[in-house]
Amino acid sequence: MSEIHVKTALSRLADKYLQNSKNPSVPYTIETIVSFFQEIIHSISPDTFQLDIDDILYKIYSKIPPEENNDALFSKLSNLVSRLKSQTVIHNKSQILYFLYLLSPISQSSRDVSSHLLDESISNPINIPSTEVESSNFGQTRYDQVPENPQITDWDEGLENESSISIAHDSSRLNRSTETSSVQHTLITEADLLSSISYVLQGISTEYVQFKNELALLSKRIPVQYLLQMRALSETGLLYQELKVFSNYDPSVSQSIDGDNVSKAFINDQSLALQSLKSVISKELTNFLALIASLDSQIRADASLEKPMVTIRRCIAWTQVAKLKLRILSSVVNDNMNQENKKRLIQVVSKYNVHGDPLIQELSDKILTEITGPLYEMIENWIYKGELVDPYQEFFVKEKNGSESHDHQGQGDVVWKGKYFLDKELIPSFLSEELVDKIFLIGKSLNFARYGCGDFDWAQEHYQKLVKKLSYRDPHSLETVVDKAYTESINHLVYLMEEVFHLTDHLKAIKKYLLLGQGDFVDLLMESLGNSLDQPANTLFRHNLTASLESAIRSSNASYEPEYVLKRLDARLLELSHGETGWDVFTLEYKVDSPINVIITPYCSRQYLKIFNFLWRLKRIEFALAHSWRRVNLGERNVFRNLDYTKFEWHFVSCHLAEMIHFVCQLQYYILFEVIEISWQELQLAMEKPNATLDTYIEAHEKYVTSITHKGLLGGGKSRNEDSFLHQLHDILKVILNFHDAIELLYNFSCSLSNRIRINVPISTDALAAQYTPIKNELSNFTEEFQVRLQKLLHGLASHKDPEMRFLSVRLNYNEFYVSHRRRHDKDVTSQ
Amino acid sequence: MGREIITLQAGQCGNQIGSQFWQQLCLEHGIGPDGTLESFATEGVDRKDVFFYQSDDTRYIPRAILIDLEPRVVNNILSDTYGSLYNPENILITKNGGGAGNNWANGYSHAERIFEDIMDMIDREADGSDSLEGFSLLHSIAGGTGSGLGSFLLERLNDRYPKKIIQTYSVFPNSQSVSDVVVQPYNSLLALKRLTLNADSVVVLDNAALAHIAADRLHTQNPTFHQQNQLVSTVMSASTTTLRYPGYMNNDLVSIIASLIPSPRCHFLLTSYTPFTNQQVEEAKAIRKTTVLDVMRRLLLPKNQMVSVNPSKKSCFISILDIIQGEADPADVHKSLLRIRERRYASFIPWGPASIQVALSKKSPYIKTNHRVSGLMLANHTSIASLFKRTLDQYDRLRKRNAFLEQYKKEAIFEDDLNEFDSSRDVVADLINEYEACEDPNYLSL
Repeated sequence: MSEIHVKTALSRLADKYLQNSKNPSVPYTIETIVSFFQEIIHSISPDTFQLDIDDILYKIYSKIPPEENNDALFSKLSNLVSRLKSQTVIHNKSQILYFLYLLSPISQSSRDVSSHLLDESISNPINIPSTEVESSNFGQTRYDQVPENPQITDWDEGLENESSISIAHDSSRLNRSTETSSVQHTLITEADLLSSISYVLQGISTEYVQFKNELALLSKRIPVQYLLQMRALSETGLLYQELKVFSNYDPSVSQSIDGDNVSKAFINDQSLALQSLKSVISKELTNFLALIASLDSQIRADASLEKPMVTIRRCIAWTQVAKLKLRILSSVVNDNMNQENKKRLIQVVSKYNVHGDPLIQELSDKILTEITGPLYEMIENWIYKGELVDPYQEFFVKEKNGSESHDHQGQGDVVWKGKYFLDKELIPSFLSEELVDKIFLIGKSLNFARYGCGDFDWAQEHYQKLVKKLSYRDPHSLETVVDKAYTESINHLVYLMEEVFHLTDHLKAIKKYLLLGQGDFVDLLMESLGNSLDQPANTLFRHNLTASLESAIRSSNASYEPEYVLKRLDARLLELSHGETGWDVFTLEYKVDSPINVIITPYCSRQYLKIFNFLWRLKRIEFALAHSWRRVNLGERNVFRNLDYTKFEWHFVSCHLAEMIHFVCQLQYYILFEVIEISWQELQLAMEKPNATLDTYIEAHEKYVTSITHKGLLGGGKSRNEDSFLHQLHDILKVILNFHDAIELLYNFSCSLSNRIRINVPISTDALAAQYTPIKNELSNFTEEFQVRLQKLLHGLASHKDPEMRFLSVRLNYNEFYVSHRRRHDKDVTSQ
Repeated sequence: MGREIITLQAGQCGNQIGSQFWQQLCLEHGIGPDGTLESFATEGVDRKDVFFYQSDDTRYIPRAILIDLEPRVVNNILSDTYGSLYNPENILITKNGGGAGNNWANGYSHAERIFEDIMDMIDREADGSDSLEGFSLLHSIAGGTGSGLGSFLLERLNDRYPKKIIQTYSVFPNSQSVSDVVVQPYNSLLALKRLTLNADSVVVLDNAALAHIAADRLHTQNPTFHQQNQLVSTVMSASTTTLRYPGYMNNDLVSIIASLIPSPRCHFLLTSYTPFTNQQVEEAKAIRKTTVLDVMRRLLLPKNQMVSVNPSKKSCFISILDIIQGEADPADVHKSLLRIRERRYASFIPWGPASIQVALSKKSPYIKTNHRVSGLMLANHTSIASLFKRTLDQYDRLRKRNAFLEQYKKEAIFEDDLNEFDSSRDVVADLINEYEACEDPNYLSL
């Protein structure tokens, strides 16, 4: 069939079209419409000519929307197709049917046409060379494993807009084409597209692809069979542009407009790791450009060949790996942008490092190697020098703000406890928790040794001995260096604490003097101070206390203590209140300064004073009871053996005195041996462990102090609580003191009576009874009160949840006297 | 409140025991035979001044007074290795004396004659003490000097130092076998009166039990008095450990005996010790894995007690003090106490609270033993009365026949009559009754 016949037919068709148009005012001419129709005919891919009638019919069926009356429609269509097949005069039946399909309303959408062609291309692999097929499948597999770039999802919308505009453009150009009488010149060939690929891959706009606002706008003039391919290449260009913008971004420039908030915003968003990431991206983009240059030269060389080897599809295959890398980098950048904490870049990248895809893992490994460079430098500064070199606050070791100005404790405590902390969010996942803890302790130890202990020489030696370049590529070196630095640092701190600052000696001294372990010193001090402390508190003077303390030291084994112990031991008066005796305000004190106060903290010192005051009170009761025992036994020997008048009362007194002595002895044993000594052994075990650190010391000592205070004070409840064991205990001890005072009255009465009998002074029986009866009543009342209060205490202890408290009640009532005593008492009451 | 203790060694037995005791203390404190501190000894851990004072030439000298009415035993001590340890001015022996002839009255009369010399020595020692706590008398009650002279000392100390503690380590005769001192019941009874009335604490050591322990533990059929004396010195050393190595508790004599003696008359204490070892035999053996529970249980066994008593069904402990030395964990002590309570290894008085009090004592760093833990028990037990009862029975049999009384009548105290015997018998009978009363739940109101 000749061109003339085709044109004639199209002209008649166009004329009929105009006659049927509902909009006569449309400024189309017959020539314009004919050109449009020709364009449609030529846009059909030659591949579609292979389709048979049934294939086309199936596609027509799939386009018909499902409705109730579709059966009639399908039947009619089937009949028409059958009649078409039976016509012998018509050739190219399949082409005619397909042409009619393209003209029908169900295929008016360009998208559908494009989609159809796309499906056609994919579903006919025999038309594509085998190597390209493999590349394509490989690429497809990659796509599914990497997050989709959201910017690409706007492509269809852009295409729609472009399609409308393209029609207008095509109209004008078609007009010019008519004038030249050369219709074929308006077609875009693969060679045309190939010549623009090097620009598309860089996201540079060409006549075929426009890049605007992070969108790629594909020209309508691109043949449909190349649309998908150009789309793929455009995505690469978009990625390139995005990463290029990111790597060239300098926040200091844009932030300068903000004025006062420049510095803060800058620091918040910036990090050395981020700068390293930009460097990595720049390198990758440079490699990408090299690839494009190579590709471009290949395309240019290929253009002169008769049988071109380079196709768009091959270009896609060649840039697939590079594209995937750009996509990963883009994903990293966007992940980091979405992070509230901009410093967690390393954490973001680390997530990619555990990916199963070797390409992704390799790239993330490369990124990590670069961006962890600053991190490793910070680690080096920290573990070699104890210095924080962290301008953008991205290191996981941080310094507390204003800690030095606000803390009033010693320097050692500031350095160790108050100054540094770990920011968990910034710890990279590839560093184990154990390793991070060690790194943290190394730097703290260096600072503590230098500023808390004044040991500058060792810190310098430490640096010179251990310095070594660290890297992400060499995790073994990091572990080796950290282990070595850790062991050395911890051992040195322990050495400083023990050998230079005598920590254990101070702990032992506190145990001896505040916890009354040095019995001879305590007895001498009690003997020396006892009479003074019986007086009102306001009669005490510090210099008298100090003199008694020095005397007790001189006369006991305390005199053999080193000077650094003795100078810390002091006697002090607590704040005075109204009506108190010396016993209430006296206290021993053991002064602790830096750096020992890191371990023996001010809080611990206060706890020691609490337990001292309680033990001191107990010791006083012990002395009072010993004094009373002497009255009973030595008095029996020398004074009132033959004094029948008071014999029974002394018998009564001796038995109840024994009861009180038993109580105080058992209580003292419990506190001194089962509480203090056992806790002390645990403390020593903890401190003697081979891997003990300063924190081990701090923790073990705090546990020790808490244990002895809590248990030693029978639960440690506030003494203001009426029902606390401590309060009950104080009441019992008060009763014992009253009993002791009453014994003094009985002793004085007995001595006086004995003297009067010896010198034969007349004695009035009534006057004697008047003196004697109140004494007996007091003694009786105090013993009864003691037993009532003690049984209440025992009952509380016996039902306590703490097993040690229950055991204490067992000890105090070892032979179950108080149970049987109560039963007998109840029985007596019943019988009465 | 006091610290120093003056040791009075009376008679042959007292001086022999004392000699062993001072040797033991020197070994424990790193003091050489001449009183010089050994080069390996360090200061600051122990308290030597409780039992020693330091002379101007820095030698350590025992606070001891050695008294005997015949010179043989003391001269042997002075010529022995540790002879130069003692202050010569604190030694009083009758040069040409023939002793007290195993007669309490003779010893008592002798003491009366040399009383001023004895008191001069005692006063000088007391003046040399910063803070004297009391006296410790070492003697036996069966002979003449230790018994009679010792009794005299107790009475005079009572008058002279009424505010000082008087403690004795009293060796009782072997009443289970025929004694070579036929009149020992007379002597024992008379001494017991003074021990009851003039002492604050009497540590009772029974020759029968000592011989039995020595034979059993030291694997010898006929132990020597020297070996028996070593047992006594071990007990003395252990019972004074907490005084010489200050710790939390029991740093003076009153704090030890106050909890043991709830009633003034009932101040007779029995002791147990474990483990005893023959040093020469045991040196070749490995260190035994004795535990705290082992020690505390064995202390309650009669075979380890140094008094032969006959417990009755109602016999019970008035109180117990265990002094544990060596590697003793307070947690182990705690478990042992609970175990002893659960198994009822010890019965206690029903009229007041009583239990085992434990003193965890430090140990000399200079003495090595084959056992990691050792223990001494000081206890007040009502069965001690059975020992007094045997003495009383033996006395009654002799007295009934007026046997061997001529030698006693020769002395001033029995010149007019024998009332002192009757008075002593009454005191001892009352003592027995007092201990039996302690077994009564209503003891408080008796």
